[in-house]
Amino acid sequence: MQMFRNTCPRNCYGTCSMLSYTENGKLIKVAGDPMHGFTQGHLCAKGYAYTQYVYNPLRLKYPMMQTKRGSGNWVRISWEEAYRIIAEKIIELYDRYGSNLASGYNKFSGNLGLLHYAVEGMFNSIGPHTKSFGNLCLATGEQAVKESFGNLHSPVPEEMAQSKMIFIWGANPAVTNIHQMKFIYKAKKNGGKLVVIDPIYTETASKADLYIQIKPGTDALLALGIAKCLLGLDQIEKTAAEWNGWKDYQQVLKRLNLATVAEKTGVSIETIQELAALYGEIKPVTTWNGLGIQRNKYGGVSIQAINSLAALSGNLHIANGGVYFTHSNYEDFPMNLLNFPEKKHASIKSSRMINCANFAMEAKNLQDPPLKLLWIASRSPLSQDMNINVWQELFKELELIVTVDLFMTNTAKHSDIVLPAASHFEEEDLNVGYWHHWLSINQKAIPSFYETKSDLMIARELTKKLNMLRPGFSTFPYELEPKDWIELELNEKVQALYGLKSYTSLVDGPKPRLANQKKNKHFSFIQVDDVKTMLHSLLLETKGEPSPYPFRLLSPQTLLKIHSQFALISWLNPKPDETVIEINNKVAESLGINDGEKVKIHNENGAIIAKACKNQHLPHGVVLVSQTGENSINQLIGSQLQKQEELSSTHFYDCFVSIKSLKHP
Amino acid sequence: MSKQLGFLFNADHCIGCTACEIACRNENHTNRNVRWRKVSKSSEGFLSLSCNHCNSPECSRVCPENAFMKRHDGIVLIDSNLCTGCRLCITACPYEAPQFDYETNKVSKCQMCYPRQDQGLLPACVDACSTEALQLVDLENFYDPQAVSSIFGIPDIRITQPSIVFYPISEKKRHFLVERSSN
Amino acid sequence: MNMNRFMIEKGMNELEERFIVPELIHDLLIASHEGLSGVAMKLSEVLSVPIIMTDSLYHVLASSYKRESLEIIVSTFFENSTHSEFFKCTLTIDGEDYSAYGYPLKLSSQNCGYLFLLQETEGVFPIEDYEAIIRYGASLTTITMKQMEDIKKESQRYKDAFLFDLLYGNFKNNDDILSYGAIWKWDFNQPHAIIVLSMTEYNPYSEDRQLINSLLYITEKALAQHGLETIVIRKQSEVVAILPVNDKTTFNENEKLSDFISYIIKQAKNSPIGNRAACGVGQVYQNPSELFRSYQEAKVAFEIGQLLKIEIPYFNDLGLERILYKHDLQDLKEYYYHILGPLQKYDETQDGDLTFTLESLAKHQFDLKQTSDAIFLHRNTLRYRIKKIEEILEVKLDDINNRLNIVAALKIKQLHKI
Ligand code: SF4
Ligand code: SF4
Ligand code: SF4
Repeated sequence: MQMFRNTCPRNCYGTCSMLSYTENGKLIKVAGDPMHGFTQGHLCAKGYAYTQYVYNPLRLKYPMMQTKRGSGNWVRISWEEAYRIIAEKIIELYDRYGSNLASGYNKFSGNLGLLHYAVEGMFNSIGPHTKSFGNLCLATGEQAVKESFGNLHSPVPEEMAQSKMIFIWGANPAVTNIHQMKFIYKAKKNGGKLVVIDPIYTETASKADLYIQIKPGTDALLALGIAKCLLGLDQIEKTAAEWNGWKDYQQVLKRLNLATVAEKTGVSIETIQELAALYGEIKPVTTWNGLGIQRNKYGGVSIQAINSLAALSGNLHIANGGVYFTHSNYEDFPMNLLNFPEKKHASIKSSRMINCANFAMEAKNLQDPPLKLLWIASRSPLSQDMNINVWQELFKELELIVTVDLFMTNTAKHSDIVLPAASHFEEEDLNVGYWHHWLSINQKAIPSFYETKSDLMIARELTKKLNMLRPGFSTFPYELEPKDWIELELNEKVQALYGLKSYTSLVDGPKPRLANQKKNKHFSFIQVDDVKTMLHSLLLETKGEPSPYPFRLLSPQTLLKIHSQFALISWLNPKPDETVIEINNKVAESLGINDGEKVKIHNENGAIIAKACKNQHLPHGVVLVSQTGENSINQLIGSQLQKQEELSSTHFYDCFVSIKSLKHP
Repeated sequence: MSKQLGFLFNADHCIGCTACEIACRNENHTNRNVRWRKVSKSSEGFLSLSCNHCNSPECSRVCPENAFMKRHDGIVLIDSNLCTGCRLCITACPYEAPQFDYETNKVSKCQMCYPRQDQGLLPACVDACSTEALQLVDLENFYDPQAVSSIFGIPDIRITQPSIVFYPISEKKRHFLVERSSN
Repeated sequence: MNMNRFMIEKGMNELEERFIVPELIHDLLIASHEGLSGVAMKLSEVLSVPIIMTDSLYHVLASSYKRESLEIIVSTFFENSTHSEFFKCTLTIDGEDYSAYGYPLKLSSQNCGYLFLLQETEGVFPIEDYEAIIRYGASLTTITMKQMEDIKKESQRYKDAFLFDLLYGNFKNNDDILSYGAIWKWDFNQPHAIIVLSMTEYNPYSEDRQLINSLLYITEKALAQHGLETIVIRKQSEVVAILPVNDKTTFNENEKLSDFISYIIKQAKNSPIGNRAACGVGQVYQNPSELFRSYQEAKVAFEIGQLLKIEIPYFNDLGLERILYKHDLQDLKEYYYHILGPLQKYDETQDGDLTFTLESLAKHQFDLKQTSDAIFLHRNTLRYRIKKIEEILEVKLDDINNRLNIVAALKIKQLHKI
């Protein structure tokens, strides 16, 4: 039996280092890595299912082409053929339009390994093209955190164990970040308390010493309300006056009406005072901004209001206090593939950028040249994205769609060519988390599954092909091996940061970032204008006409899948994928809906059928829908911001629907 | 000399993450429908159950082939070579521990990872549980006044005397939204 | 021990000329091959006084008195002289007092017993002269005791392990059991059945742990008194008796066996166990490799016996109960309320006790006379009540099917405390 170190590259808080055991080139077992200080030798269920994932009979084995797109008429082709068709198309488009702008890619978080930026590197190497930018999940929050602190930072999660009070706003680590729970329990064991504020009574909420149910999207208001009480009690940070916007913030708090806060948030004045007492009297308090609170239009304001509360209460700069969100440790790295220098073009200065939050719409409207070739990697927009209709329209305009994936996803089904991707056990990589502060390696543990290839391998071979057909078309250094790219990432600065001597130190175990992130003593309070806009808009909400779509649709991450990934793994999801909608008991009764019954969920963007499930703890105006691979709920989520100018993530939770029993039409 | 290995399940800690269940599969490569360990959700919380290696195993009493045995450390094993697939044990066990494998036509069940334990390792499920909700104890030498012998959702323990003890879910403070009227 | 002897013998050969090992020592050593009584006899012979060896609780282990079971009482200690470990005392044997010298037996500085020299005649006793030889004899005794203890422990361990394997069906083959059994002279060619005795509401973290030992003692004694050769062990909270079934036990005539078990339970009542002793009896198995079933059956019978308040429950006699016990509780409840729900409701609202009447009736096989006698109810009153019950339940009680349903529902009630 042989052992290797791998790292789970999923878009997840864990970024778990894992040990894989192989026998005769077959993966027989995976285990957590005891050398990893955050996971401490554990994996989540999805991690333990990799032994089945890797050998799933549904995995794509060969490059395939579909004669008529969407027909399901697939024929197996050789890699050579695939490269030739793609390369010829790229060159033909270049010749037709005089640049590569008609070729573009859409890539996201399917695999977060640093070597997967080979896609970006490959496109950069052929000169200006069309690329996506932004972060679907995090942009709003990142922006807000930067406005508060000047940079994106998040403390070391292991330190949460020493906190005396943990406030979780809209995060559900029991489902999405299970490794964090043991540190929370440790804090509880040492006498700390856990408070969860969430519209949904989540698994984490059920473990909390104190749970506060709040109306969705009103976190900012509650944070301001608590701050007002603190100010009244004069339990505030002495240096607060030195920070940006203190006077205005103070004014905002003074003018705030607690009764309005209680009414809008659904949290009683007594409870607000109870929370203020906790924030004010106990130290250190840890605050955690969950991704949930930023998935609506008040997301940015909410995060800033919560940050301001943490600052005001004097928990910002003390040990084991602070505010958690996500960090950007990857910025320490040169990111040679992502930042691969763009090949110069005679007249076009740089690539066309499309905000990935509104990719389909913007891409569809591109002119001069229009987008004609789309390369999709590490994601399935037809499962995950909003505006799935628009995507379908975009697809009609495209001449060649290439999808690289492990499985035949919804997106792959609508592509011309699918290329089978390697799993992380079949490639080398380097991984940095965005929650914990560890760096770990990913070794090649087993030979490729059939003809699968890594993104880097594909980039190397495709650029080589391009240059064969048209010498000098790409500048990509295709002779470099994965190890070379990894070593390039581990430059002197990174080596010092992680106390590494070389590549091999990581083979012996993951390494923590030694230097603490520079804690900025600087802080900016939430701005008055932002608060005013929010208040104004919140007040308007109630005055409007009764909506034809009375229920806010929330679609948080489910336990055994990450978006549509893992949906096909029978260990985890033995039953066929089924969309389930949770509805408050009383509401369900008033609509005549029984448990297990099929209902229709619809709004102006479309309709889907789901199985109803009563949930006594759900707010009346909220329904909860699980994310599935097929028949995705995201097709109901239209974009509220047709022209999203700012950098912001998708407001997945600002979607309203109506529900109908199928029994009585 | 007497020893009875058993599970200690902390219902207050379990988050229902199913890492234990899937780690069991990763370790034992059980066939599709065979679930040696099962995580379930009730109105009160989560449960993670496998064979409880009972002090009085009913599975064993009813087996016509005498396919069961109990090790001196208390682990109850079924010898699949002796099993004819009659499934009487499945009906006798209150905990749905014995599982019928449609691919082999035999019954199998949790063996408390005795091969791992014999090497000094913890059972795979216990090893995988990051919240310490699932632990291994020697019940002959375990005493904690906080622990109870059964909790909500556990079938009657009287006849089999399962080798599992529990920490129940504690009371906590909740402020739910007060809805003015339902639509 | 062997090592000691080897060294001494070796020493004798090599160093004969310079060191003389007294014959005495050699003789004692040889005598120790015969165990404790060998040492006692030899010492007594050498010193011409009777020697008694006891454990630390003064239970006689060996003595030069040729008497079967010697019981002694030790009293009246005198101060021991400053330079020797001897102490003077009085030994009472069969009601007669003797003065004696005691010498403590020590194993790694732990007291493990005494060696007594009995002074049969009055007069001066040259105890100081004996000191060296007694010290040697005492060492020899402790070594021998230690050896015996080890062997006993070892064999107990094997025995426990064997019985564990027997009780859990770990032997798949009768021959293995027969040959192992032969080591302890147990004949597994005869059929056996298993009786489990324990206490109700056993709490392992209380004195109950000790009480089970008393139960074990009571059982062993009762078996001996009844002349039954039975393997009895304690297993955690249980006393398990593996009873051979032969002419002596006449197991098939349950009566006699029940007499015997009742006897044990009665004995327990007079002990601190009080009326918490309970039991369960498994079926008879010819094959020893199936005895484990009898053990588990006994435990099942024990549990069900508790619920149904049967004093001596035989697994064999349990029918419907076994099935009902295992069945899904929700389903059973529904069944119960379907059959007897209206009656229970009537009793609750009208403050009646018709359910009790029905229970008594069922207990007495629906026999009017027996029932009315048992619950001191006039027969007409009983008749009236039965009519009322029939009205409420809308069934006729003389129909065998209805009776069956009612009996089943009542058993559910008892088993699951609905
Ligand atoms: S791994 Fe632990 S926390 Fe997760 S379901 Fe199993 S017992 Fe519960
Ligand atoms: S849990 Fe079931 S299978 Fe396991 S020992 Fe007990 S009765 Fe037998
Ligand atoms: S002890 Fe081993 S076999 Fe049993 S449930 Fe746990 S992992 Fe599975």
